[in-house]
Amino acid sequence: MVKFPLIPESAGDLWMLVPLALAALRSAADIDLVSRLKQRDPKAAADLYDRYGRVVFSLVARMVRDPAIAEDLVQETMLRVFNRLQFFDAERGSFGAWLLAVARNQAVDYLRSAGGKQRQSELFLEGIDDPSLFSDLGVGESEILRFENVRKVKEALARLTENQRMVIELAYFEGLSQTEMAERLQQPLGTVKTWVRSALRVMRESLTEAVPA
Amino acid sequence: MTRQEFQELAELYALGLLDTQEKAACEDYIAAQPQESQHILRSALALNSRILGAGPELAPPRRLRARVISALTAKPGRSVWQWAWVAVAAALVVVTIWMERRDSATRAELAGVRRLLEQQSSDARRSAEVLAMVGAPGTRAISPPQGQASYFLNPSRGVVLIAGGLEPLPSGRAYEMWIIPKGRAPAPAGMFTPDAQGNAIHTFPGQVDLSDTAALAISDEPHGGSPAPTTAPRLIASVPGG
Repeated sequence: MVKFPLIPESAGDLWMLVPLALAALRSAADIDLVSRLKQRDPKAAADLYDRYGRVVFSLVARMVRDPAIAEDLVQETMLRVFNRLQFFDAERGSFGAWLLAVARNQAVDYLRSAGGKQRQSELFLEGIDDPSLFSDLGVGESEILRFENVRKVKEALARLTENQRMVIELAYFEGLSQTEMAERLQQPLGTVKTWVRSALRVMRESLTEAVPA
Repeated sequence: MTRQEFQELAELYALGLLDTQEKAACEDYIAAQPQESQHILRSALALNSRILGAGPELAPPRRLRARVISALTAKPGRSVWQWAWVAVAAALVVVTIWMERRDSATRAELAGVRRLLEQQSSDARRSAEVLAMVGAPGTRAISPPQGQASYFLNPSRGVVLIAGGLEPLPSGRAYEMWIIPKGRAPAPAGMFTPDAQGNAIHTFPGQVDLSDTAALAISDEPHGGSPAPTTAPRLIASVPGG
């Protein structure tokens, strides 16, 4: 059984994050990539995959827990981004953040449809990866994906209680609403909301320097 | 909703995980405080991105690279409108083919109806001729002793045979009607084939000398007819006074 831990088990496992860190990009490089993608430069498709394929696959494979489905979702994610590039502002936008949001939404859509679930928030997913939202985030690809960020997120997660870490996992990587978390964990909704809010507060505080106020 | 309340929900709002009531409250706040809410929302998006991008790495299969590149280069980012036009064109082709097939089917159906009408028209003309002959002045009706048929004779119009319960004949055979004069050999009066129920109406137009006619009959003959009966005559009806 393949495990998809939220964080590496030990400090030694951090080395497996090195390739991810190597995928860290300078914003200027992304501006160039987006520009070439918009011009339909054939080599740009390969560059897009080489730069982000591994990160996107890691995210969706972790969410759907099925490598074959993850492959389909990576392709759908890349196509969706590729076909909506005209709405993305390369100068102001955070391309990596947008790509990850699209990938997560693809995976959440799959999880919802695979489970036959009809959730009230399902339609809302349609708008939350709108490329225009990902302008002026104050973080570039190098900050989102670099090894330093991985370390900081890992440290922030380590500060959470087990319940707080669990609700973060369920929200970000399983796409559960707070009500659904309460049902899954068999806990009162108010308790789950408290865990979620306190967990997010810790994450915000821990990453404050990287998230402009 | 206060600024702090919105800030506490912003990450979940950006993840699409709020229930209807909380989502509506967030949207009210965004509408009321567009600048401030956008700043908070972008911070939330950035935090979400950091968390989503910080997971452990899983290596994708090698084939995925070629697959993705192929998909991206094979579909060069057509716009929604371009796809819409492609869809419209495809729909038109389908509709045209459907209409052509429907038109073809309609033409075949019309041809069938036309043939049926022509057949019915022919039958109607024949029925009119038969009725005219049967009802004409001077027509006499005679029947064979076993019943089953009636002959209608008119000196100036000819003979009409209306028969029922005739035996079906094998392939290549047909019934032939005979006019049998007094003291001479039978004269052929036309071939006919009964329908599947053994019914038949046969007309022999022409003048008939009743005073010289002894009887009427039919026989089973080859399809092309015979100059004289080759099997025993049936449904023999004597002409009274003949």
